[in-house]
Amino acid sequence: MTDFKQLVRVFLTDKIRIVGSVITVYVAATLLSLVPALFNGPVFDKCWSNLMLLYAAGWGSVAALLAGALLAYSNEKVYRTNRYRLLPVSNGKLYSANLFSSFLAYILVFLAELIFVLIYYLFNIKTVRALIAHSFAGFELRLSLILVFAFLVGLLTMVFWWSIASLVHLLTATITRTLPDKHQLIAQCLIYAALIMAVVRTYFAVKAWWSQLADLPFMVTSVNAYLSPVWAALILLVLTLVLGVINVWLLEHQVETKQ
Amino acid sequence: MEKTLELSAVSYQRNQQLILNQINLTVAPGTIIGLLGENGSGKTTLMRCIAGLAQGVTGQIFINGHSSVVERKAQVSYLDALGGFSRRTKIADVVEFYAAVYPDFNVDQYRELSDFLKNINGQQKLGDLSQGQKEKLLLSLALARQTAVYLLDEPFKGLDNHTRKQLLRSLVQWKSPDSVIIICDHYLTELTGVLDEVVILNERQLVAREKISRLKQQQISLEDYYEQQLVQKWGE
Repeated sequence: MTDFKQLVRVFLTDKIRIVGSVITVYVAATLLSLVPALFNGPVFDKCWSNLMLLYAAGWGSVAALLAGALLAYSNEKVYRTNRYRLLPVSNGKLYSANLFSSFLAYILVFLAELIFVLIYYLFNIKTVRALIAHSFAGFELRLSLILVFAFLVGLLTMVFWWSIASLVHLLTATITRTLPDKHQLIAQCLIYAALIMAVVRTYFAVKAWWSQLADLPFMVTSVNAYLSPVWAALILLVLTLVLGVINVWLLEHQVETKQ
Repeated sequence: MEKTLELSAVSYQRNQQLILNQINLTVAPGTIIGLLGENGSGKTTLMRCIAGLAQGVTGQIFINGHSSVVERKAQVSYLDALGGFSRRTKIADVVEFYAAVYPDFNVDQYRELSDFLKNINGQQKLGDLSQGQKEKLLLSLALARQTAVYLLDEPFKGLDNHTRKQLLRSLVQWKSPDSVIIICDHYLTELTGVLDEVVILNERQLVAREKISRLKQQQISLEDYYEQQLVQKWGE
């Protein structure tokens, strides 16, 4: 049997390559965005770090989205190719190794963004400390915890969306398999469209309820600001686990590779 | 009878079509079987069922007594077209992948096979390989695993006449004495030399099975036997 660690290592090799390209483009885009400022002046006064953080944050969102989308595509390829489905491992192991390796690779994107934040912090220690001291007046401040859990929520949100993407993909494969051979492509497109619409509608329907649930401990205790992201992380984890169980069942009983 | 592979009432349906219907087959250790049939008769699907790739298979498949899909996958080496690797992947990376994920992959045997087949060097990319070179690589990868069953689906399609004959002769020497090989190909005359048995699939069913030694005794060529079986089936 293939070892779980080996499986993660193999997946990670491919995924780090994907994320590496995204990070390279991200760093290049942030630095290149500073070039016009070199000629206009602001780079040489005290504002350069503000400008850098601004561009880093802007390009960072694009990089995070791009890396998320490319990793989602890479995840889905695993379920329909013989390269991975022939491996002597259970579908549960295959699914979790696939998702876990994407999770690890995605952390690298966050770390690249963190480097720009740290550079900003190093050149603006006093400003940042003053800002933190005033922003959380009246709360029990545990900034490190807030940051750790906010980071975790960011990562878990992506894992949650990857699980949703897998559900849509695997359900489409399952339904298509039961339909006649003719006009498969059209049927596939229609099923994808219908499932994506259903997911978006469900998401907006439960979003308000979900936000209230995530703020519940904050509203009750009112002093532990860091509890809000903890609660959100927990909800995301439970939902991701439920989706995982459904996806593994579909892999086990319905979804096969392309012939 | 000792058996490495056993299929019992195996049926498979997809896209509202019955593709395999009640296949029964028992294969003794060390046997090399030729799986013949027209295009669309279900040969590749049968191999996919044995390899554990097909879902919703009814009936039972045992390899050395194991029926669970994971156990079966561990005991089957399936000649795959390397789907899932990009055209830019280097051969060395493919070999590294096989060595990492298949505990039974023997790198030394791969090198031996690769040298014998005058394979390309490890730095070449998959996209740069000719069809023949690709087939040689696939065969080297499939045969370098130490498994109970080898499933070779059209393994010689891109190979020149000389390499094909050379490879067929060597199949017997590379395989371990107990392992089973199932070959599905259209080069019937050349296959006869290495096969122990032939199995014919037609219209989703297994219609005939015969030992090659018996055909030789009766002085019937494999082509003639194949034709006879199909004509007989059409007559019905």
